[in-house]
Amino acid sequence: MKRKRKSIAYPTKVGNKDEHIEQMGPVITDLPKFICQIILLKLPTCSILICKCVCKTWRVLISDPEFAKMHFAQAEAYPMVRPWGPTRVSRTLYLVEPEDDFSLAIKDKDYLSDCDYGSLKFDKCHFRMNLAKYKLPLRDAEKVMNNDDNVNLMRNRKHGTKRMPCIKIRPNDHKYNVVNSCNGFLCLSEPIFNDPVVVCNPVTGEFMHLPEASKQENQKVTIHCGIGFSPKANRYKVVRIFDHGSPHPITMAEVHTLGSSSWKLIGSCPCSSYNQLAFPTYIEGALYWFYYDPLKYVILSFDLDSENFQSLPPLPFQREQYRNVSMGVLGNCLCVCDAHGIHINLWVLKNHGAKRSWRRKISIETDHSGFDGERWPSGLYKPMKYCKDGGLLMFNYRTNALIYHHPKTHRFIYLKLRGIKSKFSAISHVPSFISLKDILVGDDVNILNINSRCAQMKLLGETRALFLEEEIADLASDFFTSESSDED
Amino acid sequence: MSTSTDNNASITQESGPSAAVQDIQKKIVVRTADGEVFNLKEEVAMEIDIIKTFFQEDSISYETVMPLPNVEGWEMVKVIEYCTKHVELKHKVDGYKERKAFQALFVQNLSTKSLLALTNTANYLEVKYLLDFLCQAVSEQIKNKDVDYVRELFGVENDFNDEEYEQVKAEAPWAHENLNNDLH
Repeated sequence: MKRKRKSIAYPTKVGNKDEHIEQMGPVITDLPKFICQIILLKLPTCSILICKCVCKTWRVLISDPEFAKMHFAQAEAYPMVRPWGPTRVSRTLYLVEPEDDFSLAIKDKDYLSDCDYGSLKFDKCHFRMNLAKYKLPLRDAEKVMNNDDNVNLMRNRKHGTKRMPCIKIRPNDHKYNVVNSCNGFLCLSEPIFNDPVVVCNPVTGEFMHLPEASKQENQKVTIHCGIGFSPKANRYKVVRIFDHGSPHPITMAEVHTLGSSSWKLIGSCPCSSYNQLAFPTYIEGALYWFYYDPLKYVILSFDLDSENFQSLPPLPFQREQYRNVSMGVLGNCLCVCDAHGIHINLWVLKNHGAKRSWRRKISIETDHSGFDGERWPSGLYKPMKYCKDGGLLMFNYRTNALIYHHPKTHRFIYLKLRGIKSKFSAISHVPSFISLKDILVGDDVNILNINSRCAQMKLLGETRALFLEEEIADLASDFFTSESSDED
Repeated sequence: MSTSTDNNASITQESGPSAAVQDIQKKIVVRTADGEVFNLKEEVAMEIDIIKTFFQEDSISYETVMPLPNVEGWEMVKVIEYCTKHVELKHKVDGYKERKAFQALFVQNLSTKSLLALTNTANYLEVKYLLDFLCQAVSEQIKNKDVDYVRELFGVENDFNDEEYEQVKAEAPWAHENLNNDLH
């Protein structure tokens, strides 16, 4: 190819004080809007929130519902972890986002030459994950603010101290359970009976209270619930499963459409009052709960379009003593993870037209000592996501660690949560900028902001930094350390 | 002057024995804003949609030199470099590492301002995959950086007053914690 190659004055890296550069090129705000959108959409969620503060143009661009829709269309689910202990009120959620595409890190960048790709050395892929902080509202914030001790703390603070006062609050009064996540919205419940009371979007900081459910006489039984999306109605709904009647209560369900003013009774629910439903999961227009019978595992399914309970094909394995079974979402399918002895099997629910069946998607033998000499911790595993490179990310409850495993290359990475001494819970969450205002049925609902009021104070242990550390899963390490009482 | 239809002559005509040497590829000529002229291989030129449309829609002869008044010479060099590599890698089965290495090299010596200029140009020239890659490169520069860093990098003025800034920051104050602002 004939090409005139003059000596090109390459504008060099930032930091080189060449005046010629200053005149060159557009300011980013001069670029067409859709290019800015593309750039912003490639950022992790917390970086987008920061860009909102850069200038007015970007604030408008990011706050636009159109941007939220574009962002949601390409958003992925990520693990979201939360410190979970009986003595602690944690309103902090941590979204775990991979820092890069797990693309290969190139060694010796200074010696890159354009003709010799073959001899380039690639670093073993670094597995960096970002922990971005999000917050939940405090339950009964009024009570917190008006508590005498806290009022004094706030008053004393006004004398120029920069440090935020640290307040103590009782978990039973102020904690929320995170029930499940649906399209970026979280359903929160009060911790004693698990009654659903709030829906929030941790990224936008908005939340709303749900109307009071139908009063049931003296019910002191756990309630089961979850938030889901009905594609046909294009509405978000919260489902509440509770016991009704005495002396022999039957289990019933009611539904609330977000934005409406009340709950609608559905009818009876095909499970009994002594079943403990767990792992509420939303996927593709339906909500699922997992429980066990003396002999078998059962999954309860509720279709949000037809507002009916549906049966699922039985799981292809029996209930056994040392089985650890959990349920979650993997890819776009409902996934059941069975950890038993030296096997971890992941089963997904596949649709073949009207028929559905369980298919074993991934099978891992955990005594197989791969090239990394990995040691799989025992305990309950929860499937979290497929990474872009085809690897699997799971959360292990016993060791509070995220485990990455690639079924083909057998790469194994053990990432432990460090910095905060606590048990953790993990759910899969899709970060979204979609505003509650845009999804509600009516206009009547009061949408509050997580950050108002309680932002000026911090809770015990809140400023500790949490981070993920890649470690060797060594049997001698703290698998057996008891996670004792939380320190400050 | 060769008139044979078999001879895919380059625009710069040659006479004598070298006319027998056939250029296998047709060439397309463009002229950038600063007057530089580039001869592109047809297969590379066709990666650039604005060029493709120009020549194909009205069946304009390749003898015409297409003007590109919004493109600087150095930008054209970079675009040609990227598209040529892209075409080359199309035919390779396992070009992943090579692509990654090439991409790293490609942006290695570009300042942020030039990266933005090139992004604008890729958009104007309508080379979708290049635009996408450059946007990714720009976003990599501001990933997990704080507000001041982003402003300085892009040369953007803070047009919020104090109150407005506190207000927008208060929408997600926790996003501003624990950031890494090293220049690397």
